Amino acid sequence: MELPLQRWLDALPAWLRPRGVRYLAASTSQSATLSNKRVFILPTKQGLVFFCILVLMLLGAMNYSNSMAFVLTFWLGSVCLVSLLYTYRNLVQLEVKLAAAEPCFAGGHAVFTLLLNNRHARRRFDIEVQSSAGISSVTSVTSVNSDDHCQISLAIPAPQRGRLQLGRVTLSTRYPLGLFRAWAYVDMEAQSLVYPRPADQAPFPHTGQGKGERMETIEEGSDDFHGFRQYHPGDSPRHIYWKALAKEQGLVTKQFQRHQSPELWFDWVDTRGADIETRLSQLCRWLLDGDSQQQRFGLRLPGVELAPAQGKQQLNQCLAQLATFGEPR
Amino acid sequence: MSRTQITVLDQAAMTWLLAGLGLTILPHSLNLPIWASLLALAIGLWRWLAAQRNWPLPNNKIKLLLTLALVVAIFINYGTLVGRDSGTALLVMMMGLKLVELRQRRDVMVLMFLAYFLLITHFIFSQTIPMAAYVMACAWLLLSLHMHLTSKELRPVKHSLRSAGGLMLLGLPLMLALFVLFPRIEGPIWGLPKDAYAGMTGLSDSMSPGAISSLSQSDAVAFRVKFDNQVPTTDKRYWRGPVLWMTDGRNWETGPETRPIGWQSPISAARESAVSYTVTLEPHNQKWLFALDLPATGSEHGQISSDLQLIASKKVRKRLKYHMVSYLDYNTGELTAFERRLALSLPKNRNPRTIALGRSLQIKSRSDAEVVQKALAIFRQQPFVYSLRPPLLNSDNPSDQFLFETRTGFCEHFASSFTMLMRAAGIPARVVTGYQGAELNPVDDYYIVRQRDAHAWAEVWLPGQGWVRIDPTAAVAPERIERSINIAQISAGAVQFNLPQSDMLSNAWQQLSLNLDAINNRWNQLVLGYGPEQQRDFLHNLGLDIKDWRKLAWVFLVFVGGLFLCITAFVLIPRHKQVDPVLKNYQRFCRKLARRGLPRAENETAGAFAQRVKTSRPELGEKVERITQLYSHLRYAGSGNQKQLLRFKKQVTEFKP
Repeated sequence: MELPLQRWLDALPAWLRPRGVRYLAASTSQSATLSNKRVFILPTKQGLVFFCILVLMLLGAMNYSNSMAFVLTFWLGSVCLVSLLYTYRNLVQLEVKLAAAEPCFAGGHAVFTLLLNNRHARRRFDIEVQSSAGISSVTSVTSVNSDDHCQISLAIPAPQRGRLQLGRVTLSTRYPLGLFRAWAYVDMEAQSLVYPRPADQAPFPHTGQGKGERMETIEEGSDDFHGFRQYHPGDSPRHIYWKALAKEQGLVTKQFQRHQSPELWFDWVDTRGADIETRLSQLCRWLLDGDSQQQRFGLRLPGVELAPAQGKQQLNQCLAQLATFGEPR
Repeated sequence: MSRTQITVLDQAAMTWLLAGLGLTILPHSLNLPIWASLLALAIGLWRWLAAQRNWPLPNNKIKLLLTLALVVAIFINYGTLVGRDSGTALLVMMMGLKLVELRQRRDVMVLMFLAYFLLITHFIFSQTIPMAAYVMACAWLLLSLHMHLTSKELRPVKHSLRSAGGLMLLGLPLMLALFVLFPRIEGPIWGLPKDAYAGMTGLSDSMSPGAISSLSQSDAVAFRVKFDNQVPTTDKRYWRGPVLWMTDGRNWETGPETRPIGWQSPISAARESAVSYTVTLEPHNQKWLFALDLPATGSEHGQISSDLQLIASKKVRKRLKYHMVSYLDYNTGELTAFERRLALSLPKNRNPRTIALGRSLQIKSRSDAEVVQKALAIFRQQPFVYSLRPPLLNSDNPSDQFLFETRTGFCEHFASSFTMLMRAAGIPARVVTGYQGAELNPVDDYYIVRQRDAHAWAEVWLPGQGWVRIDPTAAVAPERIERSINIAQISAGAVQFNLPQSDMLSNAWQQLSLNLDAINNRWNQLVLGYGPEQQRDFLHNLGLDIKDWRKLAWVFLVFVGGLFLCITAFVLIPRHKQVDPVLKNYQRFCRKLARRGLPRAENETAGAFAQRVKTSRPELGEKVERITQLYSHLRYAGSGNQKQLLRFKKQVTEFKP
C-alpha cells in the first residue's frame, strides 16, 4: 500500500510534495541544504511562558493606562518576533553532509561525524544535532563560523553486531533567546559496522598454529621496510617519515614488517559456543590479539576465507567479515 | 526536548545574573520597607558567596519556613497582600526565594521571567525620563543575560550584549508602530488595588490650619498652562479649586453647591476680558479641575457647579488635558436665599471675639464694601505675620486665637478668619482654595503651577457686584501674590520669596531647570499622555475614523505587518561576504591554473596543489612556489603587511601559465 503512494509522491515536483513525507537526504558525497521549505519553526515551552508574561504585562499596562508599560511590553514583544527571524536565519541554508562513520565494537559507540558547512557571511550559533538511532537520543551542540565549516560528532550507542544506520538526524537551534526552536530533518545515508563484542579471554586455537609455513627472517636483527601509512597517535617518532612532513604531506609513518611470526588461521570450526554471537566474539578476540602481537593471520568462516596477512587493513577486513556475518548476500 | 541541565551556573555567569537581577529591583528599594531591601541584598550576596565557595543550598523545610515568614512579614507590614506596594514587595521576595533554590537551567529561566515582570512594575511608581531610560537599559541587560544563559556554548557576555542590542534596535520600529496603533481602551479593565494612586499630592476637599502650608513645601508640578493669546497679569492668576462653605470654626468643608449642574456657567450677568488657555493637569486623585477665576463654561472633561467649580466625571488619575475659557471681570449676579443662609452660617458658641469684632464692624460701617475695607485694614495695620510655620492653634476658638493672640499664619489662617469675620458682619462669604501664580517657562512658552503655589482666599457677596474675590493674604504679604515662595530657604521658618536673581550661576540653573521642565512637559504630553483620545486625534488626522474598526484593523495589519516584512527582509537577505583580499587573489591564481587543465581539488592544501602543479608543469615551478609561499605566509602567519599583499597581487596578475 505504501509503495505506490511513495512512488506517486516522488513523481511530484519537490515543492508540491507534502512536507514530512520525504526528508532531505545527505551522504558522504552529497550534501543536503536546509532549504526554506524544510525548516520548521515553533515556539518552545519557554517561549509560551514568555508570551503569557507578555499578555499579563499588556493587561497590566491597559489596566493602569500606563504608557511606559505599553512601551516595555511592545518592545519585548517586538524583540520576541525579531528573535523568531534570528532563530530561522540561524538554521536555514545550512549544508550538512557525512564526513566519516567509524566502526565500533558491539556495546560501544559508533561515531558518526557530520560536516556542517556555512556558506553565509553570518556565524551560526548553537546548532544542535540530534539522532534517535539506537536506544536513546543523542545530542551535540556546536557553532559554525561565517563562511566556514565544522565537524560535529554523534556517538550512537551500538548494542548489537551488524550494520548501524544513522538514519534520520534532526538539526535544530534555539538561538538567540530560546523562545523558538527551528528544526529540519535530514535522512543520513550513513552506516557504520558494529563488530562483535570481543570475548574476554581466549588462548589461540592449537589447530590454528603451525599450519602455515614459518616465514624466515630475511635480515637478522632488523625489520623489513614494508610501506607507508597515515600516522596514528602512539607511533614511535623513530618511524615517522620526516621528509614527507617537510614536503607538506602530513605525518607519515614508515611500516616495518617482521617476518619471523608464524601464520595463524582463525577458523569458525575452532570456536566453541552456544550461539553464533559467542563464536564470533571468540573470533574477534583472536583477531585482536593476533594483531596486537603483530602476527600474520587469516580468517576462515563458512563460505568466506581471507588469506593470511598482517596489519591494520587485514584486521579491519576480518572484523568487517565478522560484522556482516550471516547477512544475506 | 533537551534534558541537559546545569546543576549550577558557573561563577562568572552567576555574578552576571545576580548583577542583572539586582539592578532590576534596585529602584524598588525606594518603595520597599528597609528590611525587605536589606533582605533582598543579603540573599543576593549569600547566593553569590554560595556559588563562589560551593556552599550547600538549604533544604525544603527551611525554604518553606522562609516563604511563610516572608509572606507573614509582608502582610504585617502592609496589612494586605494584593495592594500595589505589597504586590511588588511579594514579587521581589519571590525572586529572592527563587534565588535560594537556584539549581537548574529551568530555575534560571523562571528568574529571568520574574525579572521581566518586575521591570514593568517600576512604571506604576514613576514614569519619568530617567526611570524609563533606566528600565530600558535593564531590559537590555536582561535580554543579554537571557541569551547568555540560554546558550549551551560558552561565549563572552560582550557578544550577548551586542546581539541583544541588535535585537532591540530591530524591534524598535515595530514597538513604535504598536505603541501608536495598538487599539487603546479606557482603563481600568478591572479594579485597581486601593493604593494604586497613593502618593499623589494636591489640595483636598477640606481645609484645616496647616493643610496648605504642608503643600507649600512641595516643588511638584500641579498643572501646566498654555495661554492661547492673552496672558493675565500676575495678580489675576487665581486658579479656582474647591469652594468651601461649611465650617465648625476650625475646619472648612465643601457644601451642597458643589454638585455639577451643567456645562453652562450659571452666571448670567456681565462677563468680560475672556482668556482662553489649555491646562494639562497632573493626576491628583480628586474630582475637581482647576480653572482661572472665573470659568466661563465647562470643558469636555468637567461640568460646572453652582459655586463655579469645574467637576470631572471621575477622579483625575492620569494626566488630563482640557481647554478652557475664563472671564477675568465678571458679575455673578443675585444670590438665592438658600445660598445666603449657607454663606452666613456660623458655628454656635465658637470664636466669640471674632464674631463680636464682625458685629462691631457692621455697626460702624455704612455699606458692606466698607466692612470689607475695614477688615482688610485690620490685617494690614496690625502686626500680622505671614509664616509657613505658625504656632499651633489648639484652643476651641482658633480664629480668636489667631486674630487676637498669635497673629502669625499662612494663607488658610487669613482666609478662614476673614471669612468668619465677614459672616459675623452679615456679609455672605465663603473660602475658595486653589492655586495662585504661575511661572513662565520661556523654553516652550507655557506656565507652570506648582504645589507650592497652593493658596486659599475668600469670596464675599456684595450687592450689585455678586461674588467678589478678596485675598486677605495679599493685604499682609503683597509679595506673595507677585512672586512664588522660595522653598529652598523655607527651613528658617520665615517665608522667603523668589526674588529675581542676577548672578550668572543661578541664571544658568534657572535656565537648565526650565529646559528640563520643557522636556518633561513634552514627554508628558506626547508619550505618557498618549491614550485613547490622542490615538483618536492622531488617526483622525490621518483621515481615519476610530469607529470604523474594520478599516482600522486593516490599517493596523497592513502597517505593522508591512513593517515586520521589512524587518524580515533585512534579517534574512544575505549580506555581501567580505572576502579576504588574500583569498580572492589566490582564487584568481587557482582559476588561471584551472583554465589550463589543473583544477585544485576541494580538499587539497595549497602546498599539495603546488606540488602537483610542479610535477605536471615543471617550467611553472618557481613562480607557483613563490605565490604559494607568499599566500601561506599572508593567510596563516598573521603577520603579512600591506607591501607583501601588493607584491602577492602583482605576482598573481603577472602569472601566465
